[in-house]
Order: sequence, then C-alpha cells, then structure tokens
Amino acid sequence: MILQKVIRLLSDELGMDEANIGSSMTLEDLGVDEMAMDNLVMALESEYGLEVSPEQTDRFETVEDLASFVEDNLE
Amino acid sequence: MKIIVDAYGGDNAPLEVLRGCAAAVEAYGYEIILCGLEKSLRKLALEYDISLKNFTFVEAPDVISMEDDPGSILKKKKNCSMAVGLRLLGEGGGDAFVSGGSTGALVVGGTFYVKRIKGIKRCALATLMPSTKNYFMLLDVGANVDCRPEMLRQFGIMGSVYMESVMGRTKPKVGLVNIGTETTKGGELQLNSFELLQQAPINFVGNVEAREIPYGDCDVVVCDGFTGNVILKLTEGLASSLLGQIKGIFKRNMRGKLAAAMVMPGMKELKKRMSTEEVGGAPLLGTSRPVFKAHGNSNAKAFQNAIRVAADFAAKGVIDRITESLAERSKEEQETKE
Repeated sequence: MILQKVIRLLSDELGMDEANIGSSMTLEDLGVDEMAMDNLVMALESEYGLEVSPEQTDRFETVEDLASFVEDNLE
Repeated sequence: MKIIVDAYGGDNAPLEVLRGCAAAVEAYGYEIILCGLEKSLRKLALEYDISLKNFTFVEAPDVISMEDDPGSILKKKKNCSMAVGLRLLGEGGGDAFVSGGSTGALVVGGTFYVKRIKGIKRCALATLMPSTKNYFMLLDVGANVDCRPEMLRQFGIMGSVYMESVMGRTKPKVGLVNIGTETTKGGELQLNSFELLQQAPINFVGNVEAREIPYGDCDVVVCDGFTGNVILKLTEGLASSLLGQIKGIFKRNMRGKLAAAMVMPGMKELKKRMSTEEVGGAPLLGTSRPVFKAHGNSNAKAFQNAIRVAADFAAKGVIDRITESLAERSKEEQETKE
C-alpha cells in the first residue's frame, strides 16, 4: 500500500504513468532532480506527517528505498 | 518554421524519414533539424538522390528501439536520436518535434525533456480518426494506462482546444467513453470524470458508447489510455479485416469483379480516408512545446504530413491557447466557488 502510494506521488510529480514506475528503478533513472525531490519530500511529509532531513534524502536510491523509509518511520 | 525530426524513428527509417523531410521542405519551405548520424544520413541522401536543402544535422549516435524499455530514454539511451531531438525542443532549438519511434519512449521523453504545460497532470497521446462525418480526436490512446478523473477532465479541455484551433470546429462536442449513455453507468472513474467534465466549460455532451464513436457525433472522445488503446487497435484491425473481406467478395467471381470496377473510385476514396498516411501524426498533448508521433510504419508521405501538422500546430499557438484555457477555467471555477 505504501509502495503504491509512493509510486503515485512520484507519478504525480514526474507526470509519468504509474505503470512506468517500478519499485527497483532508481530515482536517478526516473529523472528525479533536486526540485522534484524537494516536492516529493513535501508530499511525503504532508501525507504521512514525517520529517525528512536532506541527509536522509541522500540515502534514497530506489523507489523501494523511499517506500521502506516511510514504512520504517511511520508512527 | 524549424521542425526537429528523429531520423531513426519508425520501421522505414531513415530512408522514408529523409524522403518525407525533403518533401516537406519542397512543399512548405520548412527548415528541418534532423537528429542522427550526419555522415551516414548524407551518404544515404546522396545514394537516393534526396535533396538536403534547408537541412541541419544534430549528432545523435544512438537509437531507441521498440524493444527498449521506455524509461531508458532518460539514462541508458539519453543520446538516442529521439532524446537528442526532445532535449533540443525543450531548450527552444526548434518549433516542433516529430518521431515515428517508440511511443512509450516519446511519452516519457516528452514529459521529461520538454516538460508539461503548467497545471497539466499528465500528457495524453491523441489521435485523429475518420468517422462517417469527419475526423474526430480520441484521447488518451495509451500514454496513461491508469487515469484519475481530473486527468480525463484535462484531456477533454486539451482535445477541445485542439479541435477548435487546428481543425476549425465550432464548440467541439466532447464525449466520455462509457458502457452506456445513462449518467449512472460506468465505474468510479467514469462517474467522477463525468461530473468534472460536466462542470468544465467545454461542450460536454455526456457518455458515448463505443459503437457510436465511428459515427462522429463527438469531435473529441475522452477515455483512459488503456481503453483508448483498445479502441484504436480494434478500429485499425476491424477496418483492415472488413476491407480485406470486401476485397475477397469482389474477387470471388466475374460479377464481383465487374462490381469492383464500378465502385473502385469510391473504395479508393474510402481507403484513403482510413489510411494513417493522410493524418500523418498524432500530438502528445500537454507538453510545453509541440511533440508529434508519426505512425510506426510511416512512409515518406506520412512523414511529410506529420511534419506539416506539427508545423501547423506550432503556427496556430495551440499550446498557448491550452495554457490560457486551463488558467481561465481555473479562474472561472474559483469564482464559481466564491
């Protein structure tokens, strides 16, 4: 569920069909630049009430990494 | 007018692309910016006596094939002729881009390199199809397998602006594909999209069943990409199958052959109308600069027409009109809410 939600947020930010976003794809492969990452972080913070530091975003390599981060940090 | 063209997009590329570009230069005086390997393209042009008047080349050492993952246009295939052309368009290096290559890659690349019009959630692949009355636009035909209601609303607006600006239709009729005409029909997507389309200031005429589409009562037919792709391919297959069966009937015996001779002019006209050659290209609506997809099996004539419609689209300022239309509609809706 969280993975699907993360894929949806990515899809909205990038304007790409969800079907084209796989969990093992890297954010770099998807063309997620600094601005897109900032927007994504804001969306995650708003959706899940999380706080995401810039150091933490450096560790996000794949879509799955992002989803795992959200799962691990949910209250 | 400068049109950027993917030299290697399509089954018959690059020869038919070169021929189509040269024909477009001859007929309309455009400038062509051809993305590919200049040396080998010049050699091919010389071999087939194709004029390169008004041509400029931009080096692109790679090709993205139909078998490649569409997302690879962003990294592994970022130097393919399609990516190079899209990047150039995004940077303002031309007025429009045309490719007969991978549709998936074009959608991903168009969205990433050219960027979306502000406010557009997703780009939609639109196609013009012949009907009993005239051509109509069907969108989305495959860019977005899963859609949300707001996307279909935006597809309706973009399609309406296109048909008004480019095809000269007055108050284009917009219909939503559904399994019945009643307002209670369809799943969540259709029910919610119906409401949004009804509220959008376009000439929304309601649900349209698939069997009614070919009669052309709607100028714009809106659906999600999965449904649109099924409709498009079924129509192409059905047309081909029926025409083949009719041909078989005519060839069956002498009476059939005589009848064929009598109806031949009408049949040729029908075949021409059904052919993708005349339409040339389908726009990827929602990008901030014009991106057009030529059919994968395009010949020179089809490429020439794809270039012509792309140039026409650019010249008529359709994207500016879509942008204004979206902003206007947002403002109107805001005022209505207040």
